[in-house]
Amino acid sequence: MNFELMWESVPALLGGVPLTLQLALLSVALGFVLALFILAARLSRFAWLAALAKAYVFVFRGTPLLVQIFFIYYGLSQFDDVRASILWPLLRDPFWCSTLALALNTAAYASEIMRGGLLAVPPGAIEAAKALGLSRLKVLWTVTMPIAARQAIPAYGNELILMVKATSLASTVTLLEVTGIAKQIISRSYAVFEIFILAGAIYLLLNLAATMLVALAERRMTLPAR
Amino acid sequence: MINRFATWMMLAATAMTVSSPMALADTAKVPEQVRIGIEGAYPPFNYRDAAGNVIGFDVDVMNAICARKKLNCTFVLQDWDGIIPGLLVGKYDVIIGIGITEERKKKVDFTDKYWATASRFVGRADKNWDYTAEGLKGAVIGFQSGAYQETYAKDKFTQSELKGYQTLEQAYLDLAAGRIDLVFAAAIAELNFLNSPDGKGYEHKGPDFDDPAYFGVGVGMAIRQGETGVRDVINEGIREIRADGEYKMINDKYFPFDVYGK
Amino acid sequence: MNLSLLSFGPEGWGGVLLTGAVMTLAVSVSAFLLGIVLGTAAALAKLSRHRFLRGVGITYTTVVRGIPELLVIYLFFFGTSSLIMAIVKAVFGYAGYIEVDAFAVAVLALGLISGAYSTEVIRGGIASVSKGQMEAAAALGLRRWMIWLRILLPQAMRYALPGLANVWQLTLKDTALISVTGLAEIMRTAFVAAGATREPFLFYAAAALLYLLLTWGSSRFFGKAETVANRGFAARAK
Repeated sequence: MNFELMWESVPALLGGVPLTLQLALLSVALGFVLALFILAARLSRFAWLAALAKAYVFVFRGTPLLVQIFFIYYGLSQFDDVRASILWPLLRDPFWCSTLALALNTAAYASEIMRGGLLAVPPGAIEAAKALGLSRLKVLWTVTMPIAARQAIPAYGNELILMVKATSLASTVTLLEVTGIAKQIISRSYAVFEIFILAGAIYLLLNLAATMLVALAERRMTLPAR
Repeated sequence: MINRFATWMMLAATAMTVSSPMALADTAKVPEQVRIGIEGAYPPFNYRDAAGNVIGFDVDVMNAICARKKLNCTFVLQDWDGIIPGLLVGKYDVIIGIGITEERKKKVDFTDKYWATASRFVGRADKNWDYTAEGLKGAVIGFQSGAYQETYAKDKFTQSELKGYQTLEQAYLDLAAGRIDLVFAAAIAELNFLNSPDGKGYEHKGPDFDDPAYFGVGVGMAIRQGETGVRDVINEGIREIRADGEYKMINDKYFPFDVYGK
Repeated sequence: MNLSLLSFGPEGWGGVLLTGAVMTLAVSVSAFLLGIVLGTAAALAKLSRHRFLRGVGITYTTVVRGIPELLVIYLFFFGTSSLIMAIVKAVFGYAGYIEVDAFAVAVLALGLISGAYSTEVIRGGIASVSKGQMEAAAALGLRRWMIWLRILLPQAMRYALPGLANVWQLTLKDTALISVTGLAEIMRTAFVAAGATREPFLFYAAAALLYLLLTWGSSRFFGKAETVANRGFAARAK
């Protein structure tokens, strides 16, 4: 083990953390919004809309993220029509391609997590709220959503950690986040272990921090003990 | 159910097969089996056909040497960005098709060269740059990760946006997509792209880059430091096929000019 | 786009893609089974009375689930043979190179990852088995390990089956990352073909389709397995 090299590489690797966090947070945020639409479609009264949402979830959960990233980055850019479209300024950029792939992917999982949360709301609670004369919107906002959210938080926390890890795949489309920088350092020093162990430790710390934040959120959303 | 579970566990345990150790204690001795690390994504030197075989100039040269020197050679595929670490941890004994540079000599030893090339840019025929550090300000330059063009670009083209690719093929895809302005690679290897249908509208750009401090003294094969046995045999092989015309035969199969260089 | 590139003839990549699919399946199944073994061991360690064992179990799942799969694979790819060489040298004094083939590396790395996710699922399964049964078995004079093997684990596996199905899907998709080691599974084959033909759209779409086929087929398989495992329990009210 070359500890000197490890020590010297810490600042360079930490330099990749902002990009890693940007990718993770932006895609989780976009994915959350997209997941709401997918969920709405899934629970819609129109059969075709529900089927569409189901197909979306099936495709994005059934294929590896790496394939999705390569498909969006290299696959789509193959066509002149795509390159002439108004979306090209976004698709041209590896950052937005990665963010898009990550967001589309996490949206599929998130919509299922939310659906699971909704299904866990006891019907009795909703009936009770209705019986109290609350409006539909009010029931949704003050009863259904808080209970569902409380149910969904642990799973969503897991998803957040999976996304932080998934950002490492952005290194395969030329982005220099933590893994990308690690590979770059290795290509000159050939010190595979030292650098990848260091990079692994950075992800581990990020994820431990994320875990603690989720635990905090969970605690705040739990009613005080009886 | 219980028995089935036990069988599952056994199956998983046997799935982890570790292949037999290889004797390589004496570094002056040539191993019985010589494993050649090769990228397989660098046409026309080494690439894959639709059946999944590695073919190309490098493969033909190596096979000629192995046949002549009675070496039992096998090829091991390895991405370029991990090609030297792979040699160092013993995944194979020889790297074929690697530039002989001073920086790499700190970690590995080299055979003599068996081909040589300058490095050049490839870009759109209708767009010209001034190919200096200042002139390339704002240009997006792509190259292969782990290649010596990467080292040079990082040191010299400090005002350009630099992008490393896993394979050169990906860099061409991005050149065609317009994500990068220039590809920086070995001039001879670039011909493969320029001569293909996708290379229409692109051409070699700017001067030859051949500063030996960065681009070394040609392309040879790398071995772990001190393993002189394999190196000497391969050097003999290179000399022999050069002398009796077998090299020329292979050369002419792929190129209309001599790639050996001066 | 040239669809004939996907044909099975000498000019088509269909043949290698299918071989890649077989390789993907072989790696996934082996890694998943190894993961169940590791996961069971780690679950038992986490439930152990010994603090040390609990610590080992917790460290394993926290570390492996906390770092990107890609890094775990890289570390195994470059590290396995060095590690074995170091051990062999220390124990037998043999200083040669030992090669661990790409398939074994893939199974080890993915098995380790799969195992970390299986741990929680299996632990949950074990927790679901009612204490009364264990006590009954103990009262019948069964030995501890017999109780584990015959009473606890089989039932725990039944409870764990839906969760394990999820881990399977995860493992199956993680095999795509093994492509960085050069093992010719689906993703690697698509990558090589996309580079050689400069038709990335076609080959990544084909790869996606193959993965969909595998995930869809295996989810049906697990659905069946759940039905079989729950025979005799179906009548119980949920």
